[in-house]
Amino acid sequence: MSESDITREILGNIPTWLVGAFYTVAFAACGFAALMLLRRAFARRRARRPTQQPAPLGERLIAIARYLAFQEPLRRDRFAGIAHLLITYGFVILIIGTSIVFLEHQTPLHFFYGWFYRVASLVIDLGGLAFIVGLLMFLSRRYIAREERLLQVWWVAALAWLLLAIATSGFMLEGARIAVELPEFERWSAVGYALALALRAGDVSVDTLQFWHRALWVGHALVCVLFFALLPWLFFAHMVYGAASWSQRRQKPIAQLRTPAPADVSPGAATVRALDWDDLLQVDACTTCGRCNAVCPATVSGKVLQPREIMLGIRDSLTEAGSASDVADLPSRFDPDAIWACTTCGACNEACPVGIDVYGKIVELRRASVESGALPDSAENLFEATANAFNPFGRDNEQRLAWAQGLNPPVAEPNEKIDLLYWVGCAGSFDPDGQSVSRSMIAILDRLGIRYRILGCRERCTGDPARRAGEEGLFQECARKNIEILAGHSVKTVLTHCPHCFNTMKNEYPEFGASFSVEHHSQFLARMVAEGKLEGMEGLGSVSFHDPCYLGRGNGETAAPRVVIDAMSDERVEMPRHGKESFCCGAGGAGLWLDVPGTDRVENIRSLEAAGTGAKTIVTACPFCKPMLEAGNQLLPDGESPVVKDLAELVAERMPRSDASS
Amino acid sequence: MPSVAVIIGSASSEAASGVPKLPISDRGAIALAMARFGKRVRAYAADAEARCFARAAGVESAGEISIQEIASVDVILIGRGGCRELGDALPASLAEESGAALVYDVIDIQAEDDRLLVTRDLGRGAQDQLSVRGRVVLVVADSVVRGPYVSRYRLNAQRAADRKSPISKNQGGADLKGQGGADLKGQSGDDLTGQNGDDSKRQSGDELKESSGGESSAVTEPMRLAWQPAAPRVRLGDHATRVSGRAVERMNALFGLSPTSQSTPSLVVGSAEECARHLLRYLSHHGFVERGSIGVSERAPEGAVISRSAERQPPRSAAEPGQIPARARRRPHLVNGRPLATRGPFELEVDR
Repeated sequence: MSESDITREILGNIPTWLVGAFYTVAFAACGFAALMLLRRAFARRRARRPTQQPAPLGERLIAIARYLAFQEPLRRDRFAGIAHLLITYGFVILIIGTSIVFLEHQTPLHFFYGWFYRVASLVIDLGGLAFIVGLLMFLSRRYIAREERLLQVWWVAALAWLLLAIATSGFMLEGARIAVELPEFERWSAVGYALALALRAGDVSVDTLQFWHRALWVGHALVCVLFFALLPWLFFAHMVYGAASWSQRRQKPIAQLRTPAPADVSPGAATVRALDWDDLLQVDACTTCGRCNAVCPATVSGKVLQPREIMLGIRDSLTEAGSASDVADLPSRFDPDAIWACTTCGACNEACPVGIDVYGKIVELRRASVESGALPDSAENLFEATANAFNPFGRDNEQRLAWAQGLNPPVAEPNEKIDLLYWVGCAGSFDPDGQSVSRSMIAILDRLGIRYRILGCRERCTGDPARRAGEEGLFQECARKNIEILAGHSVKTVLTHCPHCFNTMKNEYPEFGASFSVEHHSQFLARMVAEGKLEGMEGLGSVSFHDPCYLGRGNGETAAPRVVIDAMSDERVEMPRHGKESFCCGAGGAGLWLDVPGTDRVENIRSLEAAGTGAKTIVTACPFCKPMLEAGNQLLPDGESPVVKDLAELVAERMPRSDASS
Repeated sequence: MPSVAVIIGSASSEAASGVPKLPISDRGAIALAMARFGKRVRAYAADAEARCFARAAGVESAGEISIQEIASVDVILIGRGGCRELGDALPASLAEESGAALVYDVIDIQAEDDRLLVTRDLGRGAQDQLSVRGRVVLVVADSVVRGPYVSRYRLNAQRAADRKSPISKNQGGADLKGQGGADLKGQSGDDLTGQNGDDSKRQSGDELKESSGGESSAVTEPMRLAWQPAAPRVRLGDHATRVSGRAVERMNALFGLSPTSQSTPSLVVGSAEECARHLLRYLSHHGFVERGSIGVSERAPEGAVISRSAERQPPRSAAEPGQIPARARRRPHLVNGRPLATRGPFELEVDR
């Protein structure tokens, strides 16, 4: 047998009219899918134009290619990541194989013979096998392991079943084709040849084989056509939008909220069209994987919020809106408890494999609720306290310096130039837990002999709780006033122990004209340790660090606090969820004031997890986390609850007293 | 349809910190009027900031007006801020001028055919309801149900709009004359001025709820969610005063009777039955009466603003990453398999 004989007959045994009908229906299905995708794109285009400048096209294409090739976000869940990689690579190989067959058959190019045929057959069969294995992994997770986070609806499973039907019918079709003549070189088509041998073993006649070949071809063609036609539909669409959504994901820190750009448009997503194109592309890309639900502190504590359901609700709302001019009220679609239960910890954003800004949309719903006046009393009181008393605790702002009694920290004179401003924050000024941190910071700064100033009673809330609770107007008032005050002092650097103030001033204030640098006290202390200014603090027992969401996940700072802890303790125990995967304490997103009912409390869950490490001291770096963890510790039996300390408190306790302090 | 006017005070007079702020009952008066009579309400305010607030809240027009002009209005709601300058002389003279009934401490109203059901706050959770026909002047209490929040964005947008087109001094006032008052004028007899007269009736708390429940579907209820007082929900500065000291002091503090509790929103407002439930639960929780012997659950009634220690769930194992407790399987409001909520923002009443 010559090399040119080593090939296969393409569309043999298939009548010409059937081939013609297949191409007609296939093109119609692709046309239908393209039409539906275009229609959806136009529906999205009726929404707001994105405020974020899109990345250059080249960068986006590279991001898409990289996402498809490596699927890093998907591999955070190893099992799902491997299954998805097998499916993707198998699918790509099968598409390439089909294209080769098409080119060989429909164009003057002829290359599908000899060694190329043998190798291509082997690779295509292996690709198909990988494809089936990946699908079976997904199906086993759904039907055998029954993972709770998966959305148990038929239209999600339908995609896996349809793809499985395509792959298996393809292999059976190949087996039937090979079984007719059973040529030796077809051994390279490993799976097809094995199936052909099985058919031959059954002593099936050639006529019967040809009948089954034709029937399988028709079946295979139909499921393929169905697949193309269903591409724009619900879960199927994630194949189209997933990588695109990832390539257009927000590149800013997770904790940074978007500023609604047009001043003449009311803030918030009152309707689905008040969201922007990117938002809607993202909800279309939702894979319903439920990773957001699995990490959401509100969901885990039994509250009604399930971030995935919010995304799917927005997607349904877009579908219902279509091209209609009258669009339904978006927040009313959801249980208000769901909207107000979010702690804006950003765990959902971090977990999402297609880069959806999940909690950003929940904040948009809050903004719309605030604009319509529908909000819980506690949120309204929070806003009024922030507006009238300039702090969310509603305390007299003239008492801001009460925490500093006996310390006499240097308060800036009006218009005094300040190189380093220590921003105490509202919790640091009014909450006893926070006051202790502030006093420790003053002690550290004084002992290190660092020149700094505080603002005293002229300090006001940064507006973080108000903004997270949806009161954008109030936040902007706070931001502008604070920036004006800081500009009056020509502040160069702001040092703060509050990750919320840190995030707001570092990431959000620049949009309103701020030009100072901001440093969190953990970064400052780590720098001092690195410079050798903080030594002799060893001897602290076992310690576990709770990463504040707005520092670790929100701003990517997980190393600095650990550097400081390692300078004090040689026994740092990590909680199961730490670093960027840390679990919220429940206070973020104005959660310190809002208390949406659930079956448990977020702080209780986290405190138990912290206590489970066996560490004697739980360290945090946030004046909001500290009281929450202490509240959670109340559940633990006497004597078993670890001590909760801020990083600064530990450093102040352990740093040797220098001459500067005396 | 009766003509409705709201008189509110100055937004600047309560600005302890220099930030304009309208008194609670003034805001409540606007919200109440709008909830019951829609946007036809006109507001008369002492200063521009208050007028701005009223317009941002959605009233049709807001301006200034003389007593003579406003006397022709059928229903007048006055906030405490509205009485600031003239005191009780304002509602009294308005009522006298137009021969209207005068009711104080109003916390709710319901329009019902040709009469108005007015709910008054009698203090300590007690309420009564008056049935009023004809003209009426209502002085709204501070304990009025909170209305929809007016966002800073709306306020600022309204301020900007006001700067562009300043409001004429008597805007809205001229329209009031001759509007809808005629059909009510003949009915405003002297008997209405006696608030406990034949047309007035007292109802228990439960009856009040029932009678207002049927009506509320016809009008937009002011939104109210009573989850939690506006205070940090974990131990903070005044924790010690709330959980230490003698039992009687703590109980007084709990019910808003001690001097230290004046600034805390721990006053229980509700029907006698509801208050009794709170008290029994409190006594049971602190061991003053035997637990379980009184048939009252220690679980806090919905919306309770008292110690939450009894609400605590028993400890459980920390969830592993990626693991959702079984109870979290439930999904919100699935309708035909779709996550569709049925509760709109204005239909929410947790504390019903």
